[in-house]
Amino acid sequence: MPPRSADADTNFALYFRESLSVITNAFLIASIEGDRRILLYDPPVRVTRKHGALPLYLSITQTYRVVAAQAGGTRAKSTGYTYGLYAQPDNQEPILEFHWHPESTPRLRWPHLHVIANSADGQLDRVHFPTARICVEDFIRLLIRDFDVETRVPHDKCKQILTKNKAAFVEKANWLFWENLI
Amino acid sequence: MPKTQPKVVGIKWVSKHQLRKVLDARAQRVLGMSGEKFVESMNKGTLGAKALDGKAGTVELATLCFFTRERSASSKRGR
Repeated sequence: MPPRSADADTNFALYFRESLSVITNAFLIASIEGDRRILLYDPPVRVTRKHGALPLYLSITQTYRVVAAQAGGTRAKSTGYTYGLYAQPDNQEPILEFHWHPESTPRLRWPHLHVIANSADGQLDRVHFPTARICVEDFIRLLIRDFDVETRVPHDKCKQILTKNKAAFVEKANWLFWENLI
Repeated sequence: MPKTQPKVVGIKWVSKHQLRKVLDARAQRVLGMSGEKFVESMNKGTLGAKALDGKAGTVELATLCFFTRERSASSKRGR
């Protein structure tokens, strides 16, 4: 069931949805457990690419809690994410995954990146490359810039939406420094 | 010609029951096991960080587990 009040958590979902809308029009699944929320794409959704390149598939899971804000009211607090990219539907042929899942894996609490690749030293798939906290806007920028994912709006508008939403997200964040990583 | 303002993606709120179906489908796809079997292994604590983060698309199942579990009678009563 949806939350009863239109407050911080609904705003968070709105920013998140608006950012995704620059590359897809697929519905997000949402659910609620107490003060916790989950937004996800499952199975992964198709995104088209420029220059006739084969489509890619986007797997997204975002969790957050709705907590009391110091200034009154409530605010959304991220508790984890997985942003994955696949070459085939149904979670087949993964390419990369940005993860932060401190609650599911207490011994692996830091944000990290999995790159599905090989090296002279063997498979890199399950190496946990440490990263900063990534937000969905960073991930979308990576898809557009480096994977030629097609946008549903002109580039300038797209950039404006992603920058605005990342700024709104970071304004509420409890870590201090931020810049677009990509 | 792309639009100047995209329509914001929709959101579909689902119940625990519906989310369990999502969990089951993903467990079948990614691990070749039922969602029920996955939840059972989680509850027994037989899936460590290595297993959960050992294959692409797996760790999401642990997150889904949390959102699909039944709350105990005492936690439902509240204060």
